Amino acid sequence: MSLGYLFGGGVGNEPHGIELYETSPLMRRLYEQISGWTGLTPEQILRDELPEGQERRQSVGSIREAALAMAVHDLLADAGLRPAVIGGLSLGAMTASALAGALDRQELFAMLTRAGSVPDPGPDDVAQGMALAFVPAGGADAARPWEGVAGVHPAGDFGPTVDGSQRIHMLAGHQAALEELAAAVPPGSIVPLPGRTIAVHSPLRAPYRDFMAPYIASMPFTAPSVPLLSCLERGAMKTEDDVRSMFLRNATEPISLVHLYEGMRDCGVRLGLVMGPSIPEGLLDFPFPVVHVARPEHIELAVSTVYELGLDFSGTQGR
Amino acid sequence: MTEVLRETDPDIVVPDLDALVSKWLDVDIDQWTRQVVRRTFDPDSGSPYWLGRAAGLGFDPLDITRYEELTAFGPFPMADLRTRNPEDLVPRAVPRPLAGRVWDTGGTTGRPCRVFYTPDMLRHRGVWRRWSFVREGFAPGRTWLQATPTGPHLIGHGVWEVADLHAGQVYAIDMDSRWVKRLIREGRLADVERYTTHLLEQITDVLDRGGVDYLNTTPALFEAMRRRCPEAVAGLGGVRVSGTQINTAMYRDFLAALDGGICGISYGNTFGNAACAGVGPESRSIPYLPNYPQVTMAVVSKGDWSSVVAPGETGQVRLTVLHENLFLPNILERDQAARYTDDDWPCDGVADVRPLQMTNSAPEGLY
Repeated sequence: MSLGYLFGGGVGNEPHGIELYETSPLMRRLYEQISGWTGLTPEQILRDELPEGQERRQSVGSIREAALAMAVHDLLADAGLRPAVIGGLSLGAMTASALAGALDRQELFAMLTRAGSVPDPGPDDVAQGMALAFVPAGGADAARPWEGVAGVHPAGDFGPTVDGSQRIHMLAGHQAALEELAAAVPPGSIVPLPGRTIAVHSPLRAPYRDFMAPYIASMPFTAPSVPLLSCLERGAMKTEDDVRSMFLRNATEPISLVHLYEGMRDCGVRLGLVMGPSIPEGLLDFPFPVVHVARPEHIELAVSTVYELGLDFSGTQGR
Repeated sequence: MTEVLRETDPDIVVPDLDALVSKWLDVDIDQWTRQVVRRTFDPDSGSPYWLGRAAGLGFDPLDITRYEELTAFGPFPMADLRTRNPEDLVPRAVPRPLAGRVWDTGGTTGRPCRVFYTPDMLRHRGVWRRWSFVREGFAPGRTWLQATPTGPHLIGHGVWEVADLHAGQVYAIDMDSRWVKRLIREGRLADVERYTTHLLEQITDVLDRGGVDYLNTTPALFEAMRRRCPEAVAGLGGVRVSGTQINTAMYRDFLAALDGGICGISYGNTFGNAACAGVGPESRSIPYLPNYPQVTMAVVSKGDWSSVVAPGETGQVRLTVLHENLFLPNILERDQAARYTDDDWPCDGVADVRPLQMTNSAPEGLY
């Protein structure tokens, strides 16, 4: 009978959390702190145009997303809520690790800042991209039209849609190969994601992994103090090595939201809180109710829902 | 009209109650719409509130001939229910001075909405409630404990519904839901726990005396009771829970804790109610059917309140009250639900109700 916190992945171009920032002194203090760790101004973290350069842009965008998710976590803590289990996708997994006590917050933001130094692709490198694939729901026999297609890699599994009709996967690969595949299948079944020019969670991201590996190897991880689920395989990360391994492998291995929510279900989670605007509302078939916390009024909604579902407040506090 | 008003008869008996429900379910919704709209907008005996708004509607409400055309009224301005005299909503055909109760809904943030219920409106609600009790297996002539909000909250009228329409003996304790919400808003979660304990102590005090068959309460309070007082729960013959937040996991937990007892569910508020249509053994959905034709519900797009979503899709709950003495079209509830349809029910139902969330729902936001 517990509360699970879910952190989404990806780095968007649109700023979010502005209403939260403007109404919350606690969030503004956090952003000042992150500003000190990253060298970015609070406005750069919150809403300024992201910088030019693929990796620099990705780095600042990651800091933006992680800062917002962390702020939502802190606002919920300020309202009296603590997760019994925690997990995230990709960047969200890293943010979750910091909030589960597996590494210092400052270390996380230092790593995200460091990622801005990854060399950008050269002019002759093949353009990369991402896509969502909507396939009929089914078992292992379900159609996967990307299998065997050169330059296209499975990058993520978001599980069945709420109506049970489809399953959503994420693909990464060469942009031309993704577009060619999208044109060859029924319209709408594979949808390239605009503005996503990095083939994350695929072998094509090996240069990033190799650049960051020495840095991550030197990061001071510790064993999580809150149950922390992995998005790379089913199960919890229990040791500092488990967490470090996730950080190292995240860039090139597929992620799975199903690993997270099924793991949470097995941990007895009865309510999931999604930190920030990631993971769209009402789209996916979570095995427990989910409240999305992205706006000021959602904080009270989250606490009310904990009460309405009869979760024990005393079990969510004081961790 | 004479036949319709038979339900106001204070000496009404059980066969009449069953016949009333059957009659309501056979009502043609378009004919019913015309009847209510004509009564509401009758120049001599209509509702002062609606007659005052008629000139600004941009159409003649007496031209409304079909239920679907009620969207012409637009979303009902809830602020009017916070500021206007509730009497003004009631047609003057109901003799003045009005005698009856004003009921509240909302009020956890800001002023509550208030509506006047004529005696036949209370009876409508009660007849439907009794119909639910029977359908769910609650036997007449049993002893109940009502542990819900009372006072201005219509749910508290369940004491009368059980006693008068289901031959029940009823104990009651009061729950101040607005106080709970206020504590939550102020972050006083330890005080929420204390208040829950305070309520559970009163509940168990009654139950410890023995002889109580059924409990009527909220899902949240029953869940707390299930956790803290499992023996008391196992000793019940059944529970009936009313509230917006219950899911199948809770429902199955409740059934298991009741150890052979039954669990009934309803959804609604002071404007209108819906009864649970049943939860299958493997079902992951809790569907509800409204108290037709006085209460109808639709699930509409969150971005377009006039657009009903496809069956199974999730959207905002839109409720319409078509009572002869209370016309409230297009109330946009602060709840969301999946659209539910039942071939044996003359209108749409709702399923898996929970508080409305207006956030990004585009798949592109997945990553």
